[in-house]
Amino acid sequence: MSASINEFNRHSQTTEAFQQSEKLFRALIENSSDALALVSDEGVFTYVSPSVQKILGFTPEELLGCRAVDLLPPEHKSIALERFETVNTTPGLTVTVEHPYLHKDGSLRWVESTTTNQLHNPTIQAFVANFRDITERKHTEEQRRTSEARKGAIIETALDCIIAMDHQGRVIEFNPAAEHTFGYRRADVLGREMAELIIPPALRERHRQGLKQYLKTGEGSLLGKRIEIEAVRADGTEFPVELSITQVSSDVPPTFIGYLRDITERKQSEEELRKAKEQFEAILHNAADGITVQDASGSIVYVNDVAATLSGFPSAEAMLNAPPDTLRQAIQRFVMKDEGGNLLPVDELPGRRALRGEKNVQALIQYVDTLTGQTRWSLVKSQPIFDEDGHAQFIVNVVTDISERQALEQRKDEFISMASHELKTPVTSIKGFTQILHSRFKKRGDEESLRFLNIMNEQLNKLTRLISDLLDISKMQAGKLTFQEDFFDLSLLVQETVENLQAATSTHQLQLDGLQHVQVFGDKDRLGQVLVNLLTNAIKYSPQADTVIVRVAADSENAIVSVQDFGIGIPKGHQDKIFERFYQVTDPEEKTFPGLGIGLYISSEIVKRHKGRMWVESTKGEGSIFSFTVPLRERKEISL
Amino acid sequence: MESTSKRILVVDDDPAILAFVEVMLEDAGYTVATTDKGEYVEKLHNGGLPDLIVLDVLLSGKDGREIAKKLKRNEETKHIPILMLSAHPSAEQTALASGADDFLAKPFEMDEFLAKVARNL
Repeated sequence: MSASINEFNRHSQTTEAFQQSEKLFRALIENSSDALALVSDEGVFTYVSPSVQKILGFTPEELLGCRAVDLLPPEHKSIALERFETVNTTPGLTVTVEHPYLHKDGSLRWVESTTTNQLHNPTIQAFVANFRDITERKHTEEQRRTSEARKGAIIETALDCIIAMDHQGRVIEFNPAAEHTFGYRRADVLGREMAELIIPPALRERHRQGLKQYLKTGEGSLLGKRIEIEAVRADGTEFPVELSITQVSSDVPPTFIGYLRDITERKQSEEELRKAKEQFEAILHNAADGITVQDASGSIVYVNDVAATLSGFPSAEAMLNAPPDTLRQAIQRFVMKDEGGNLLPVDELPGRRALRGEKNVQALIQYVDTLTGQTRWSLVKSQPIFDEDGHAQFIVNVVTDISERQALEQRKDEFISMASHELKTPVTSIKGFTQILHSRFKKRGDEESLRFLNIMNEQLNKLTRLISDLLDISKMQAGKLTFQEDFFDLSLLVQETVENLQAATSTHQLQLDGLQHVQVFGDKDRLGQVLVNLLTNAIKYSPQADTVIVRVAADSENAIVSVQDFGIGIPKGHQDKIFERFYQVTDPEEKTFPGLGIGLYISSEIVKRHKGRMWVESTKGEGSIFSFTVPLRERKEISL
Repeated sequence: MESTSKRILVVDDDPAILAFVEVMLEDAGYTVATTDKGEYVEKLHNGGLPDLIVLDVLLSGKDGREIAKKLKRNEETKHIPILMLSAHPSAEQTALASGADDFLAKPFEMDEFLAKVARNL
């Protein structure tokens, strides 16, 4: 009895233990994140653990009796069936595959299934399948693949050379830019020591030591910095590169990536810029002129030594570093006057005018030093430099000290004035005596001697005109030719001048043709001088002819005087130039007519000062017509 | 005849000019005195006064225009006509401004010179 009880007890215990164990397994199965399933030889679920709901959304009840393959998207079905067949025909075989499964909500879930053929196991007689949701893992893998692909693309297409190196200094990556820059093929350099390939021989040992040092101590002088260094190409040529190196932190042992950029062109343009700057510095520094640059606010941003010296500073540096007060005092020390000696307002300084947008501003300025009382003359030219919007950004002032030139000019003026005086004095007495002799010989009736004396007198007149011309041209250049203007009848002046010259001319008949009375306002003597010049030229340059025609006409605005000769004429190429100073027509074929080349220049300048115009029409071999205009002005206009 | 002829004083620092102007004026019938010293002119006084003065603008050591001013300021001499001469035609304005009655640029035509002398007497 007791035995049976024991038996029973034992049995009960065994049953209990079994039940305990089953509970345990069930709990394990039901709480596992993986789902377990039994699948019949026909592929139909006979058991599915509850975890399946977490993976695919279906309850085990919903799946029982379903074909496992129906949980797959259509395009995966055939390959899944093939695999199932393999397992089906191989007892004991375990196959692990990854497939996307359809979730109850229609989304796709990646599931890794491990299926074991237990058909032959009498207690199981089914396929045992374990399903694991690997969607997350798949996703991460996908991301990593995309990231890798992106990195690859970056490396492939980077403009910079990307070269990776392992801890032994061997090349493990060499991108197309590096291939192009260094002249190696990637396949040829992978695994080779980088130092040998792209580091110039002189720097190799240092590189190797540096790497060794870094690996030992973790200290590297290059990591994370941007440096400029020489590199060498496959053909041995060296060139400058900009280099930055990073260590790939996750790799053990460490690997390094170098980014290199060929900066040959940048270096060259930097060098060119530096040279150009140096050249400009040298030019500006050594220029005889003072050069200053002002910014848009008028502040001085550059001066050269000459400009600084003119402003009373020992050097450009001293002036540029001077405190604003000192600078102001230094500038206020000078009183600025214009050419005529009038005080020059600051706003009228060339720099200020240029700042307002005026181009090619130029002015003659007197700087009176209030400390020394000395006056210096400067020619100041200012040029604005515009920004893209057309605003004056900088002003460049070039200051030429012309004090010496001015003094020399003055001495020259004085000299010429004195010389003409000294020349005229003897001419005056020779002319005086010539005329006395003339009147005495006239009383005696000595015709031949009178003729000689007339010639002498005319030559003296010519000499006088030459001397006057020289004086005039000197004054003209200095802008000091004076005019005494009044109203007068131009035709009367023409008539008088023609009569006077006719008296001294035996070779030519001076014909007055169409003499219109015209009132003008001007310097009668100076305009008379123009007429004498044109008439004497007409006579001089028509030795074969015997007539000169003079006309006075007028249009609505101008009196027009023209002098026509029938002489040698002026070749086309010379016609524009004959009014230039010291210009002489030289023609190898023609007889030359010596002269100073200043008569027409003076004449045209006198006409210009009267706001008139002078020109020539001429045909070589036929003669010339010189004309000039003087604006008409009635006296009554003034009284109005 | 001589006692009635007009008396002309010529002042110039160039002896050759003095020489020909003297002859020119004498040939024309005037009584002529010449000097190359401007100071002499300033000391003119009653009894010895000329009827006209021919005066050079630029004298050595003396400006003819200053002399003209003094003569024109002096009650005794201010009536004497002054004809100024200069090798600088541009001196005309300043010469006339200093009190000269007429001006002639050197060198000049004899006829013009004599005409100006006669006109100013």
